[in-house]
Amino acid sequence: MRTKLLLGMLTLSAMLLAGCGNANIVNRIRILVAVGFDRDGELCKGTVAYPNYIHRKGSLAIMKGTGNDPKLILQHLSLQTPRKIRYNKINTIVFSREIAAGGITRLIDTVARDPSLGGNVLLAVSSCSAEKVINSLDRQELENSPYNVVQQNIRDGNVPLSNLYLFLHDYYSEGKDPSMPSLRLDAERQIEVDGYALFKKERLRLVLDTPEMTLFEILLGKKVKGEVPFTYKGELFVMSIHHGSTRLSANMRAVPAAARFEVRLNGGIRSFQGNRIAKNLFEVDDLAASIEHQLMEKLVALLKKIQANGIDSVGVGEEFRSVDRHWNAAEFYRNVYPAMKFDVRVKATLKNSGAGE
Amino acid sequence: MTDSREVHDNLLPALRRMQDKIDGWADVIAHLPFDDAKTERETDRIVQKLQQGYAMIQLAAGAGQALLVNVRDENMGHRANNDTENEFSVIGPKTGFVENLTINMHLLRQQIAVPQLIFEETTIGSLSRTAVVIAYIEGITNPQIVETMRKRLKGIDLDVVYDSALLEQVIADNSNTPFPLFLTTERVDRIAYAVSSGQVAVISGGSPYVLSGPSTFMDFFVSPEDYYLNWISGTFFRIIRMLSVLFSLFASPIYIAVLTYHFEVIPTRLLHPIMLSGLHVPFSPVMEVLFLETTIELLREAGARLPAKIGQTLGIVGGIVIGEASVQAALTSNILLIIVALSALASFTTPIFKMANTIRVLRFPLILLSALLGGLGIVVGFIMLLTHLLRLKSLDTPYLVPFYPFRSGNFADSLVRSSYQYTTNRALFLNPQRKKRYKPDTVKEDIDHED
Repeated sequence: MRTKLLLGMLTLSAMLLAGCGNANIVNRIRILVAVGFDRDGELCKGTVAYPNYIHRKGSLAIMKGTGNDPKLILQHLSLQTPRKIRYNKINTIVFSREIAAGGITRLIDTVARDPSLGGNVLLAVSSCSAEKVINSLDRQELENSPYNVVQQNIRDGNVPLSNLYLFLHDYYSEGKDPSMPSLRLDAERQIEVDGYALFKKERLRLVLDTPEMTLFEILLGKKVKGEVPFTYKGELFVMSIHHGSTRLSANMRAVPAAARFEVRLNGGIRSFQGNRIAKNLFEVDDLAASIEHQLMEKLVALLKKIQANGIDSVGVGEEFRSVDRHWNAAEFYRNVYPAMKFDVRVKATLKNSGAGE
Repeated sequence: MTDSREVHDNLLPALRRMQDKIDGWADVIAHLPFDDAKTERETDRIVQKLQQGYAMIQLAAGAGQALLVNVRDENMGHRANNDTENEFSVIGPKTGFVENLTINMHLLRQQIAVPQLIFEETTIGSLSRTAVVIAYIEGITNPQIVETMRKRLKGIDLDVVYDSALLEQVIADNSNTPFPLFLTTERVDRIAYAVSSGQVAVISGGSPYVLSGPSTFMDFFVSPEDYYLNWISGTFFRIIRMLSVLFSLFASPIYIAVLTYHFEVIPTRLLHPIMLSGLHVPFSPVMEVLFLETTIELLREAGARLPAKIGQTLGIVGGIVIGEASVQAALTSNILLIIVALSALASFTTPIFKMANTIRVLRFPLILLSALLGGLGIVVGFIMLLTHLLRLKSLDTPYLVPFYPFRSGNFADSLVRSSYQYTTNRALFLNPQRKKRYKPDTVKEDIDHED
């Protein structure tokens, strides 16, 4: 009797629970993959891309909606479609510079609190309007989404690692300011990464260009990779960094306080002017020295530039917080950080393989 | 009933050769080359024996008595070959049990040639009076297990024992389970292994399937071939078999759950083929799956009932025509067709037919649960299944041993079929009276080639 009752209860609860199920049968919904936000007067304009399987065999199509809030934009979009709109698979959110400069808290708050979105969403600023970036996806394959463009570069080490999760981490941390890649359309209307956008809390402050982006990545020290150009005896060389590391340490006793960056790079030089290292082994030290010197100057300049804009995108504050019990964010950024000295030490190790002459 | 060759070649010539005067029955019996020749007075008994195929001889002198000579045709109605028909293996012996109890006992005796192999005979069935034999090895099998089996068999009251499968259901610890609690097999080597490792086998007259117990869940996924291959290949195939169980149970439910509720877990690159193949399907995924699964079950059932030659045609008709046509007609998606076909294929890898059936049956509740509750449904179904398995017992031995209760001593031969050097112990949960099976391999001497 008890078993029967139990079985009955189980079946009943399964039935009842089934009512709560939110069925999204995959071929009956419209799956958004990328969204761009622009300012449209008082309102916010959302442009979304979704793969259209019915008419276009899966190439992307565009929809537009306006509203004050992402949810309202979604409602507006919903009014235009015969199928349910689901945004769980969005992997790219693009903000126009205008919106980013005005602050993206409202948008980020909605996005961050939504369990449907993962932490691996790409956030990006667009130099042109976000609408243009998303519009360029029209009739493109899903493969060409900005997410894949950025992700490919992150893997290769051209762009610093960045996603919604890391953005939120930096956004809510006291000693670091968030950042995200910046996109634009090139002359052929192809999406490209044109730099790296640095934020002060939710507002866009500074956009680094691509060479600076590589340097910034070296400073972050998460994945030190990329190509570093330098001149030696009047000729241009490129050092390919195979691997490296950056250690940031805080010197709070110094006056003014100093942050030391110890950069170690391992790489090689391959240029079309012949295998320089193999020709003259004694030149290695000279080459390394010139790299170290030039890179150090560039890194210091970049740090100064970031410092001058009143932002701390590298996370110097975090490092100081970790060693100072009485660290206070407001005080640090008012008094200590603006006058801080940067002590950058670069150690480049050149490696060469292959047959010499 | 009677063996006419016996009558013509032995009985009649023997009678003709009796030239001397016959004084009584003893003289006749002495001249006959038959062991089983007895005199009988009662008509009822005579009738009974005649029905069994005995020959009756009467003497003019010895009225009121008749001599009954056993000239039964023992092999009448039995098949000539005893190849295993349903449990095939490429390597290893192909002999299987047949419908004859004596032959079956003999077959087992060939593999286990020690006098300690005990056959205990009882009779079950109020109408059939089927002889049922309990086989075990004295000194290895735990007497408690034998006693339990004896008791269970004694308690049976059936009219006709058609097959040992009936016995299995009656003596099972839990009759409300889809899982087979005793191993039934037609392979001699499998039963020999079971008996030698301390299990009890039950051979039933008229049944080519012999059952053995206590069995564990893992026993049903072990193929004798695992032991005939080297341990690396044996282990690989065993793991493949276990994975195929999981695949055949969960592939279709996961397909339903993902396509109905959790589309976000589909990788973006996979979305394209899934969407394109299922775009014009008018049914929900669960209807699609039910349609295809039922089709496969129909095919299987029809294939099992049809004669072997027609069965092959059926496979082609079912596989190609129905599959292709339903995709063409946009009734199902291509991807689902692949999944369902693969999971059906996977379910056939289970060596014991009964377990394979169980797995196919269990798929349907899981499909319904996943349609109702999505991924949660699959989890709920899996937990219920696991709870049920944990509660099961076979002849009072836990079914999920060695996983639960955890018995590290038996891991050498469960998921992994270890090298013969490590499988020296008998299954310890059976509490065999001798734990060691054999001594592991000693050092082999190498021929020194350097001269």
